[in-house]
Amino acid sequence: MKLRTAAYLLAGSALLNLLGARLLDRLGLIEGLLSPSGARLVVLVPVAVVFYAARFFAFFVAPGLLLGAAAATRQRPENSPDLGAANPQPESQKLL
Amino acid sequence: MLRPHGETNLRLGLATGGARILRWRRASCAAERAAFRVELARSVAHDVSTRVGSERFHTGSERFDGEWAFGTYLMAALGLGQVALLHPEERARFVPAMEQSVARLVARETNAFGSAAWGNVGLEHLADGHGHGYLGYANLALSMLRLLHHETPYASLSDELTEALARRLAAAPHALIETYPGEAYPSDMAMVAGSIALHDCAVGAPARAFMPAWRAEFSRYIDADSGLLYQAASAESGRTRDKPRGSGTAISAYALSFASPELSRRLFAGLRRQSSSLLGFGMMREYDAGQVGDGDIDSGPVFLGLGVSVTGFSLATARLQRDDQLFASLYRTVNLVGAPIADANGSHFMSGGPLGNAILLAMTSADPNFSRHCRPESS
Repeated sequence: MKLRTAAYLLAGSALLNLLGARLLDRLGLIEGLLSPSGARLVVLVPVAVVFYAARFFAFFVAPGLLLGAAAATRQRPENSPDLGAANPQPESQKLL
Repeated sequence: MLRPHGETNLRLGLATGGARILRWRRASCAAERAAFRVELARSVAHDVSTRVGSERFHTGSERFDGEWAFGTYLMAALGLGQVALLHPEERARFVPAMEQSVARLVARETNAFGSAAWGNVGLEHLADGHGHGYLGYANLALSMLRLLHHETPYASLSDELTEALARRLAAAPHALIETYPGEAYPSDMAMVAGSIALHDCAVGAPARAFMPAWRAEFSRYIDADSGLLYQAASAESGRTRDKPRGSGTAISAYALSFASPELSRRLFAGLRRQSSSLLGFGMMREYDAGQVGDGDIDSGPVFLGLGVSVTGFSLATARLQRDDQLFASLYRTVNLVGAPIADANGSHFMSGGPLGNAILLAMTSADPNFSRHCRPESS
């Protein structure tokens, strides 16, 4: 995975985590889950699933991906930078 | 140069390592936890001021809706009191909020769930009544208020309720008074005993003569194999009902810390064996190994044997027993799933709701040194 992609994933999941928490707080997650009204659940459950997926990804996966991509970039030869399209890696050196 | 598999391993390793490094810094930092506790107390105080009646809850049972509103005011009062003890500079802010919480807790409408079950208002029949074991919870909040504000307008109610519960508990042949007609719960009795002891600590009264016998009789409800407390029993025969459960054990270990540190430690020893941890994130099992059971109104949801209530309540006992490792692991989980957020009224856990936030405030602020605030007996 490219460094830039990993950075976008981390930033995106962190943003979803922040905004999702605010949105669910405003929607009243617990009151909604306790409520017998199915209409609220239709909105709450998908938002909660996306929020927790983003939260777990942001804290447990994305940092590792970013560090892994950064480490891989440092270990590549200087003339084949990970972010630059000008000097693409030979097919044989492409990893993952 | 790295080979493809080598890089894959590196990435996976870093992903795991990154996760381990980033395991909730807040959970491992006591100073940040203390600051968050004050912010959570501000938020809970705001909840109390805006009223959290039974209409906020929709469990499908009027009794449970009422119990949850009652529980919110109870835990808010305990938590605000404990935070005021831990942070004396916040006393002026939190004691009035605590008093407001107690006012709602003892209000007729908040106790309607118990009045409906008994056919009378428990707080209006203290001298001649019986049962109403749930009043031990209200009394614990009153006792905590008394500890912080000796001259509170609720002082006489605190005295009367304590004496009524003490009379009923002393007369109980099997250490139980009924919470509702035909229903008795050892964990409710732990709350009754804890509330009496905290009241006596707050007013400087000597220990009750019946307490040693009560403690000995109460011990029969601790399962010898698991060390957990049976969830229900018969007040008439003393025969146990239901199974030994983590949620009742954890809240009892907290309540009994005011009445019997030895019993509280014993319950914690059983509870400690129910802890489970993955990558430093801890949870507690509701049932002992080899026993299965569903979640209910006491345990909250139970997933793969791990309970929500027992995990939250165990925060307090871990703090009281100074088990920092267990406390930190449970706190990490609460932080991860609870999703703390800040707003103008303080900070709270997004997924807590009014009851969850009040419980977490009370459980994360339990004070192992509360007895240094007791009034000397001579005064």
